[in-house]
Amino acid sequence: MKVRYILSVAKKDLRVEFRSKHTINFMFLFSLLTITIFSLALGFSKVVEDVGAGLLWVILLFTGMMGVSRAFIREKELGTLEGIRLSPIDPESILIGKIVYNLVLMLLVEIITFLLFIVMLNLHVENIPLAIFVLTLGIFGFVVVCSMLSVLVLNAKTRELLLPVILFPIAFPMISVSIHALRDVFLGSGLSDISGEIVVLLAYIIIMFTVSFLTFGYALEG
Amino acid sequence: MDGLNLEILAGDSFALIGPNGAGKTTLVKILSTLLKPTLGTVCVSGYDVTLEPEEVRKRIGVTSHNTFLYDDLTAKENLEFYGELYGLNKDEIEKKVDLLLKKANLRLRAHDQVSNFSRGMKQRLSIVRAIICDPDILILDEPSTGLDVASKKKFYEMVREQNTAGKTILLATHDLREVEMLCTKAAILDKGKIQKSGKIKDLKSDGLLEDVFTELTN
Repeated sequence: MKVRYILSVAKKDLRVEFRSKHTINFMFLFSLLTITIFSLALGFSKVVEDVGAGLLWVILLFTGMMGVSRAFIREKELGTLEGIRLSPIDPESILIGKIVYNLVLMLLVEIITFLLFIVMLNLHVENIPLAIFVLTLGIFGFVVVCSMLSVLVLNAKTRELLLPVILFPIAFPMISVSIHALRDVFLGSGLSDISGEIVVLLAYIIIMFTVSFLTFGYALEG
Repeated sequence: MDGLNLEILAGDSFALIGPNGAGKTTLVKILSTLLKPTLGTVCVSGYDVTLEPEEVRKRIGVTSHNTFLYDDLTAKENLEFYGELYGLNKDEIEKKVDLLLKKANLRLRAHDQVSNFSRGMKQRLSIVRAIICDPDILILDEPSTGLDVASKKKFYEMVREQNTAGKTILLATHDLREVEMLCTKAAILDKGKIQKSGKIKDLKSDGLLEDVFTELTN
């Protein structure tokens, strides 16, 4: 595994995406639409502090599923995945390159969605950096799992339908912990109050990353 | 594939001829490490495709009817990306891209997005992509599908140039005219088995290559 190969794959994907804007426009549009709907439904209700974390994850989960899975599916549809596989780079570099690309994409969406969310739903968050940190950990875990699973469903005809079916059970523990930690931050908790959740999130990321790293080569061979 | 035994020598221009479903693409995919053989041994440039796939990939350039190009990138960006994957440094890429695009008559379109290219231009760029790593072997899987006469001519010219430079050419096709224009040796493949192989002039000693092909594959 070489850093230059990882960066080449990530750089190429970012270049393709920011030139075509196929995925990111769709992600931003979906995000904005959902925040607007939540804003209309909840108004300036105080209930947002309790349910805000869950609502935010609903937006990011669906936005992410649309965007993250495209990294491999688009290559498959264009036939370029074989082009990459024909080059002498190890499969792990391809995986990490895709994770880096997906992470950049998701972090952009996360930051903008988060800021729009707290403004449009009038959510008062005392510790915004901590909230973003907790959310980012969850997004990182989600990107790792979703990137890996999108390769597993690559050869299925109904891959867009199949992905959520296998993603939800695997991502559920991480999403659940992230929602609890984020809600606590929204209600005023500090870093020490949510350290347990952060450890769980980090452990989840490490486990999923290791599993993906060990199995990706076989998954890519199909 | 069924009991296939085939040896292609360095510098050969070899054709794999067969009707649709004969197993040409499967064999090409095995040789290019995209598929693993379930039985037997396949070596490319002395490296086992199952045990040392990365060594094999360093030594082959593959092009097919699928160009493996990104429509949203320019010709130069596509070549830079693939050059990076083959471990070339920036200077090497710069020099090679310039030289190869000139050879492919695409130098003036280097900064144009591939989505604006014709099928023939894409196929020429695909060959450039395949040879950017200076491979020992060029594998072509039905590469001229959908090309017009002029594009085919330029494409054949580029392939011949590679063979003249000492590269081994493996062409999988059912276009017999293409075979006679580009290759000196061939194997006729049907239902995963080699029906006949050898020099093309020997294969057609009993008549036209088309007649031999039809007889063996019917």
